Amino acid sequence: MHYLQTDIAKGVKGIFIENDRFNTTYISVNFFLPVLRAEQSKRVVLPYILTSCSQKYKTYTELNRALADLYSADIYASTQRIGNCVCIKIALSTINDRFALNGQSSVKQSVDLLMSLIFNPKVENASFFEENLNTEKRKTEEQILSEMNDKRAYSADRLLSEMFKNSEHGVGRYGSLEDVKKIDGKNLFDAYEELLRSAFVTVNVIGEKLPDGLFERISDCFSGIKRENITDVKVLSPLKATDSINYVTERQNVLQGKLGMGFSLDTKAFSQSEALIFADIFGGGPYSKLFSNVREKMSLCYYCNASVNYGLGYLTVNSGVEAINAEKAQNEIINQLTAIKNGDFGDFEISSSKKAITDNCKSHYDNQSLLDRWYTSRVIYDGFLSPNEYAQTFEEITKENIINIAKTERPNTVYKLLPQEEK
Amino acid sequence: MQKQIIQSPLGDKCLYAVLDNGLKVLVVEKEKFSSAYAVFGTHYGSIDTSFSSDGENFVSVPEGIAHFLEHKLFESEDGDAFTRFSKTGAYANAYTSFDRTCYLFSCSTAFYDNLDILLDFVQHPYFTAETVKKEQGIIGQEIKMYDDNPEWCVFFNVLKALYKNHPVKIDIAGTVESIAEIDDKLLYSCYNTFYNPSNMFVCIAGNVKSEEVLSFIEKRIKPSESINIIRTDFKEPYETVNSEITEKMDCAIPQFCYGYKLNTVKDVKQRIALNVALDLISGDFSPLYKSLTDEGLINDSFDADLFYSESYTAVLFQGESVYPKKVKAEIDRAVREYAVKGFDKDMFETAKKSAYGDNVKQFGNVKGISLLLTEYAVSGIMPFEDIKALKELTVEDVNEAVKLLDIKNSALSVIEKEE
Repeated sequence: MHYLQTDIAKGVKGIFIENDRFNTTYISVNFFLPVLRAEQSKRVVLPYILTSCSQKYKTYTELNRALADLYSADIYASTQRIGNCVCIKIALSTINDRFALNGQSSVKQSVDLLMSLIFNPKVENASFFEENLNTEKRKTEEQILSEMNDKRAYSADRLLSEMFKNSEHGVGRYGSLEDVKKIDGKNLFDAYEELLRSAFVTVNVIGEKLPDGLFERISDCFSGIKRENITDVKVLSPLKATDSINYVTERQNVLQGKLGMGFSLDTKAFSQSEALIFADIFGGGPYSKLFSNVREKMSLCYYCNASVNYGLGYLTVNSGVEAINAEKAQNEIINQLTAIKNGDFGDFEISSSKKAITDNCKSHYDNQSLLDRWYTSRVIYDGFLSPNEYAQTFEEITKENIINIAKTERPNTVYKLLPQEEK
Repeated sequence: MQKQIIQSPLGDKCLYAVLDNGLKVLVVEKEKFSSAYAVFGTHYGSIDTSFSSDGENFVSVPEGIAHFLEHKLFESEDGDAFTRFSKTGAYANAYTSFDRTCYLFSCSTAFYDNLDILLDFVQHPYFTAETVKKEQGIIGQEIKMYDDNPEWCVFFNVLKALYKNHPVKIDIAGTVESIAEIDDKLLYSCYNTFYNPSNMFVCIAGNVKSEEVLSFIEKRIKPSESINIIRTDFKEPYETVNSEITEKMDCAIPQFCYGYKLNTVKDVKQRIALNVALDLISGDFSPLYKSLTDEGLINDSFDADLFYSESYTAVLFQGESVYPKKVKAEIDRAVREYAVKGFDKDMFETAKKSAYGDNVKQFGNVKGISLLLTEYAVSGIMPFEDIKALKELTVEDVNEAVKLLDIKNSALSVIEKEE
């Protein structure tokens, strides 16, 4: 597998991961901007409106017909958090020309379509059309409501909002219903212009060959834009340790409760690999402390997972518990964390974790969207490691490294979603 | 042993073998890939609640036992299979659906060590009264988690409205009460019936050599006499039970699932025709999808599926909507219209190209291929028959397929917001 990184324009990087095992070519364009509460909802709606129509494809029906004619080419839109930033992603996956029937060039036509969506949106007088916008606003509002139906995702999001309630990062994944309502064609177009002007941009291409002239075309598209105040993706603002714990309990008509626990973690003194292995041994694979004790031995919950955010310096534990077991599960999670700090784990857990994560890194090469996610998220770190290079960094991690990083945890928030109390 | 190499229209080759004991082995080599994905499964799922080996003495077992058995099979006398996979670094998992239970792993290294673990633990059950009791707690939690999920509940409610006798209407995991009836003896009884190689399959895709894999499997499958499994005929009537079912839950946005109950479709061509018809009726380039979206009746969660096994077939439209009854009416209107007028020829060609593209995409990853091989093994379709059927599909086939959707034989399930 070969790899090429090139500067396409000011603050715009092109990354080509040559890989001939796939039947498809995958292209993603990623715009990084700092997280801002007031902007979040607009940034959620923006990639969806851009991928619903364009000057060329006036309606989503026309667009979807064109995608179906390109052998079910897929367009993906998302807004995710990476480090201190939101990353607005617009991606395309299309079958390679050798599979197209009647000599059709599916890749070239798909690239034309992607360019049309990103750089020639359907706008008039510097404003998106209300009819298109209203549909996307409604869908985003319903997405916010829908997340409340998924109690597992909802409680995980609520835990983070509580942990970061005093910072920009406390904004919900989709912003808020109120902020969505405030979006209009004009202010959304302003957000689009800001995106083109100041976002740090990466263009990832994963496939057997780089589509002819792709990077040059993107360079041309940016040449008419005054690029300034470009986002510095490497600035990180970790969660600060607090003196007191924030306890939050919410009640809804649910059968199963959810318990979320958040901790600050001083990741600065440690590598990302160390933080990852620590979280995995604590609450990742089936060999982890939380799985083998809290779930398997004590049967306290159906799921109980830990994850770490290295850039923002925190550790979270999310679990599904019966209300009567919530207190017990909470204590046991703390006990297991203490066990890690006391070195109560051995070679089995360390080598299992290293092997599992190494295997996972290698399997990235077989999946275009995983490779895309990998290279999208690596831009916030120094050294642009490939999955294989990253896997090599696990070799030197010792038990002491894991104990030391665990010792930096400070409890921050305990969030519970419990059934209504019986009257 | 019967063995053949089957060529796919997309260039892949599948080794298809049936061992003397009846075990099916399907392997697709993808030498450029780093990893491999392997499934060891049995044609046994949540709907197999009543069965016999002689056609006379039928045994009924508690609902949810296939799923319970899946959980328990990971354990052995000297530890669990997860611990063994931990030593190799593979990702391992299992799932139970209506008609199958599958154990799987994916790995980038130590493929044969992992395959050895997979073949070994699935063939060595170990249940005791204590371990069964402990699992009842964990699965009870899993059931409650799903009971809080409106999307899950709206789906099972529509099945309850569509099916009178067929156990497809029962939650795959059973209920807290039904799993309380499970004991080690019942688990062994189900295991000895359904985990016979003649009812099982191994499906693998990835960086492997198919002949080598086949010979490895042959050496590790325990010799056994094939077993006769007769599943109870639940005498499911054609008609639905109810046309509407509504439940209130703590949900922020109402959910709906609208289903048409069909006579069981067994022919692969008819199945492909129904899938293409569904795309034409409600896919994202259809006039129906546009009108439903423009009127604010659906969002991106809207989806249509052909729901089938060898003993049931339904077409399901599921999503979120504040106005589920209007969505139902619009779907009925479109179905009625297509049944009379047929589909536009150009639109049909687009949908066919799109379905072909989906096949190409599925063959671009080892997981996708393994899942497809599993589908072949369970449904009895020979590899790639579906791709060939799609190639030969005509607009007339699809026009006939849409006539199978009977508006009078449908049910709407809604989860409303609790006041």
